[in-house]
Amino acid sequence: MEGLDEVRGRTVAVRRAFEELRDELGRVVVGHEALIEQVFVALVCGGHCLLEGVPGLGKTLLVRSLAEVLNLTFSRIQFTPDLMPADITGTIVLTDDAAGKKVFDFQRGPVFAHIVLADEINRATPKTQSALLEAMQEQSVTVGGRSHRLESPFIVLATQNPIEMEGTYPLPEAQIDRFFFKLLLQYPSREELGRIADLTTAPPPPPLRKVLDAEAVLEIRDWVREVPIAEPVKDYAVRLVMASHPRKDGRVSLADRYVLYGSSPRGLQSLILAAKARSLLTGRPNVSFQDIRSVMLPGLRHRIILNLEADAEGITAEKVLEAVAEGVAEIL
Amino acid sequence: MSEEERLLRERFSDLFTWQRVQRRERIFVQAFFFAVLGSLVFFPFRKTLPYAVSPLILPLLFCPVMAGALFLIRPWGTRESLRALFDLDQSLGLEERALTAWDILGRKEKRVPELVVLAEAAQRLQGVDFRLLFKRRLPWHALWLPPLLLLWLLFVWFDVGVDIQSASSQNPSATLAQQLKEFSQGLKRQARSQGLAESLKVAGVIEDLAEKRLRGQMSENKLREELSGLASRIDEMPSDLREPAFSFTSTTGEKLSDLKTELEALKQALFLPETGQGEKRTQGALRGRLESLPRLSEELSKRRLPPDQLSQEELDGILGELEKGVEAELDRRTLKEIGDFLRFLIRGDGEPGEEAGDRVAQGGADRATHGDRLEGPGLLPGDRPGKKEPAAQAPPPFEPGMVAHLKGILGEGRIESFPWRGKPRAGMSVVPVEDVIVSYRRQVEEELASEKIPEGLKETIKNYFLSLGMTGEKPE
Repeated sequence: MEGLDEVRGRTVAVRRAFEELRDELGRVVVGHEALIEQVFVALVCGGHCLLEGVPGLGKTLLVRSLAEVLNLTFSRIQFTPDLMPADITGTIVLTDDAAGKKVFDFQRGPVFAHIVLADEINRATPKTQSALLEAMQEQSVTVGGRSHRLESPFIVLATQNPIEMEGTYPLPEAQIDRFFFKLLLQYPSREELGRIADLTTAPPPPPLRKVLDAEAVLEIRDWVREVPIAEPVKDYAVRLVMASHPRKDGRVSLADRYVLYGSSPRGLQSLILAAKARSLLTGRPNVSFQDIRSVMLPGLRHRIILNLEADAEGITAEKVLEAVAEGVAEIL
Repeated sequence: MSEEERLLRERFSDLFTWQRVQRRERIFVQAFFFAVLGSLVFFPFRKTLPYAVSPLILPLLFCPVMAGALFLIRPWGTRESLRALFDLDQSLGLEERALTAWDILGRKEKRVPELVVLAEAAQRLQGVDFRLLFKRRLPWHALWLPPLLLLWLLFVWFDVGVDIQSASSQNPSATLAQQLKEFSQGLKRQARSQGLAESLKVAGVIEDLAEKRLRGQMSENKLREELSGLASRIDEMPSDLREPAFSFTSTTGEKLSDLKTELEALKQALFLPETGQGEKRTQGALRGRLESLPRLSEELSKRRLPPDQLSQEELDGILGELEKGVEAELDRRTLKEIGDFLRFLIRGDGEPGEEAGDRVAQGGADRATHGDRLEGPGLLPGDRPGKKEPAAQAPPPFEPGMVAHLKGILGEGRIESFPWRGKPRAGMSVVPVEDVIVSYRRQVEEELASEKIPEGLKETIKNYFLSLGMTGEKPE
């Protein structure tokens, strides 16, 4: 019974921690409540996020603040066409050691941080992009034949500007698939804009309180995987993924018409893991259908490749996924 | 098993039991709804029902079939259990705790986080009254059932009287069998009264076939096959019949009938009670009788057999042969008409018409009178029910001054009327008395053959009409 109480206790603790984190971030970040939750979910699931939004919506502020309240290290890389892989991963330099001898020393790049903001990732060359993506996947970098482990937790928040696509190198689908979530930053509402004005033109607020630390985040990451999920709920997630494919079982007419390729199995993993994390954040010991539905858009939207017809008719992945969600019943 | 597990198992069991009861009720309502609906749809085709089945019981027949089909199509399974749990979660806002707990209960090993789910689910489900939570909800079929049932009863109420009574005539299979039965009974009566041995046998065979079909021991197709075979056998029968000494192939049916009647009358007259049964007849009495029998006299003279030149034994023999010949000819003609009638029935391209059957079954006199006209399509005077003859659709134009002649038989077939333009011709309507007497006599013979007239009076009536027709004397 002690085990039960422990589990109950940690569930409650995670919920409270998240609420505190949200409140604390709310002091400096206006709006973006859903975004904060999704980024935290990705963090505790060990995933990376692709943020898409026009400049000036507070992406950097959000990520920096998150790192601050989580007591994690943070670095920001502005991707440009002339950015080299070594500028991210680090490089070997010739230095003097304590004895005055010349030695090769590995100078860590900005990727060596808990939270990395890869700003405008699509402006760098594919070679540089792949260096970061390799680091994301392996959670280590290899320079000069030596592998260097990145610190845990490690999360990359890469941003893309949906406009100004000239001179950019769009990420290949296979690379995009490696992101746990793709999050869209919405333009703030009128009230939110007013609050932003207040916050940014007034004296700076007191420093943010540290709610969690790296160790706590890793602990939560372990707990997430222990959250039980019922077979019918898991089956629902499977059917959603299947329905995102054209001409597959449980297809939805919109997907059938506009989707070229549906979600990969990584999409299903994202759905279930994120749903588990979300249930934990809400203090529930099990995954619900609503958990699956609420992580469906960020988890699958970048994994669906639409055809030209969809492009011509202005059909977005979100529309297709909404139709998929409507067309798939919870219980068969 | 922990306390939570035990409690959850009990609760889930209660839930499933209640949902199953409700589901069973819904299926029965749906089954009855579809049964009534099916009955309404089937109503126009009720004629295809077996003879003994009333349309009133159609819903009761359909309902078990529908219910069985619905239970077979949608048996209670895992999906139904999951649906019940999903509804429970939705109703109580359990966010799939019940569903997850049910899933965890089926696992062999349970981890601590799973036990937490069980504990929370047990806590929330304790004391929940599923009967209150899931109140009895009948499907939409239940709303439509009363009006549909009412509609069905109205259908039956306004139609059942006609339907049940006329079921035999409306149901094609029953119609055929029933008609055959009635036909065979009439034929039997006639064959017995006229001594038509072969026709009597055929009537018996037809009656047996009809009985078998009516009892459901024979299919419709089989019946038709049998009838076809019987008709073929009948066609072959006349050649098998014994060749009589006298042939009447060229004699009209009317004459044959009269001859038969006269022969019978003579035979009976010779054994009248006043002469003494079995008493030796005198030559004079016999010849006296023969004078009052014109057809017989005519037949004897045509065959150059003057009665006054024949001995008693010769006359007896000739009369016997004559009777056999007449019977054989009548039998042959009756068989031919039976064959025609059966073939008409087998064709199945319409109702054969009651008149046709009646006419054949009435047999002898009437049929034989118009024997020549009965061949081919002319077998069916008038019209078949429900069909129109071209003649009826387009009556011949009336031409004043010309003799208008309408073909047909009085009292048979459908009555058609159409207006005649033009002035009627002046003059009296005259019917020859011989025709009337012959017609009356035939009717009397039929009546005598039936059971309507008491046995004791039959002889008197017969003698009366014989004397009336032959001598022209007034009855006493």
